[in-house]
Amino acid sequence: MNASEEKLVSRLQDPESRNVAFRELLELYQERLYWQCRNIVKNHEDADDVLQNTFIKIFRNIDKFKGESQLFSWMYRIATNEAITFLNNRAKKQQVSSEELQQQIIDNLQNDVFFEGDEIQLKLQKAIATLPEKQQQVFNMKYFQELKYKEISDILGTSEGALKASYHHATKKIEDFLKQT
Amino acid sequence: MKKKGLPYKNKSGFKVSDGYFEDFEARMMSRVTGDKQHFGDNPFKVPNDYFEQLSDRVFEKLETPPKEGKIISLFNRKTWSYVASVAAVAAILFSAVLFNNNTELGFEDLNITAVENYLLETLDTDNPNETNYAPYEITASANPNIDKEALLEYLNENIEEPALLLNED
Repeated sequence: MNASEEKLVSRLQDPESRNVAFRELLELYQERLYWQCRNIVKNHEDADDVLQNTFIKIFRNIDKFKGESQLFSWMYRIATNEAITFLNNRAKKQQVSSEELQQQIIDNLQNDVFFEGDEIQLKLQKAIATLPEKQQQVFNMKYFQELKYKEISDILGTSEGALKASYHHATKKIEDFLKQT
Repeated sequence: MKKKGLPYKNKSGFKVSDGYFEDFEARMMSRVTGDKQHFGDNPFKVPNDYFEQLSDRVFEKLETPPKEGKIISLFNRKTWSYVASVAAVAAILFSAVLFNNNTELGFEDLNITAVENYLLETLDTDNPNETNYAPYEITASANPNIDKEALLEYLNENIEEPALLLNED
C-alpha cells in the first residue's frame, strides 16, 4: 500500500474519523466500483443495489482489512463477489441456470434505457456472455475498465501471464462469435 | 553425452524466466495484431447525478439497522413436549404390536394379581364362606373368600367384553 492509502485506511479504522474518511473513499472509488458491478450485472438498478451493498460491506468490515493487499484490490474483490452472488441468488430464485439468467439479462438490454449500444455492441455483450465466468471478468476489467494486468492479478489472485493468455483467448472467441452471427 | 565430434555437453546452461512460455502466444499476437482490438466503447449509461447522490444514499442505508430474520428456536418447550408425546404413543403402539402376537384378548392376559388386589381393596369380603369359584378358575388368589357375585358384578361393570374373561365362546 502507498502512504496515502495507508493513511486513509487508518482514518477509516478510527471510529472518530471513520465517517469523514468513508465519504472520501466513496468519492475516490465509487465510479470504478460501479463499473466493476455494472459490467457483471449489466442492468443499472441491479448495479446500484450491488454497489451500495459493496460499500456497506466495506464500511462494516474495514477493521478486518489487514493491509496485506492494496485497498482497491480488497474492495474490487468485495464488489466482484457481491455482483456474482447477486446473480446466483437471482438465478436460484427464478429456478434457472446462471447461463439462462445471463441470456435473459442480455435479451432485456435492447429495451434498457441505460443501454445505448448499437447492434454490434449488443452482439458484443452476447459474445461476452458466452465466455467462462473468469474470462468475462478479465475481459471486462481489461477492455472496458482498462485496468493493468498487475491490478487485475491482485484482484483475482491470478498470475499476470495467465491473465494475458486468458484475455487473448477471450478476444479470439469474441471475434469468432461476431464473425459467425 | 557428447555430440558427435564436439567437445561440449548438450546442455547449454541457458534458463528462461518463470511463465515465459505461458503468455508467449498472447504477447506475440498483441504485437502482430495491434495492442488492443477495438470492439467499441462501453455502451452502458448512468442516470444524471447518480454519483453525486450516491454517498448520501449509502450513508442513509448505513444508518438503517439491518433487518433481523425471524429466529425460530429449535428448543421450543411446547414443540418438544408435543414431539415427546407423539414419540411415546408411537413407542407404546409399536411395542404393543411387536411384542404381542395374540390378536385376541383372553382371560390369561388379565393380570390376576392386579385384579385381586383391586378387589381386596374395594369389594365387600364379609362373606368368607363362599368358596365355589367354578366355572372361574383363578389359579392364584390372595384371598379365596371373595364373593363370586360381587366379582362378577365388578367384572361386568369394568371389563368391556366379560364373555372373554368367562372363557365363553
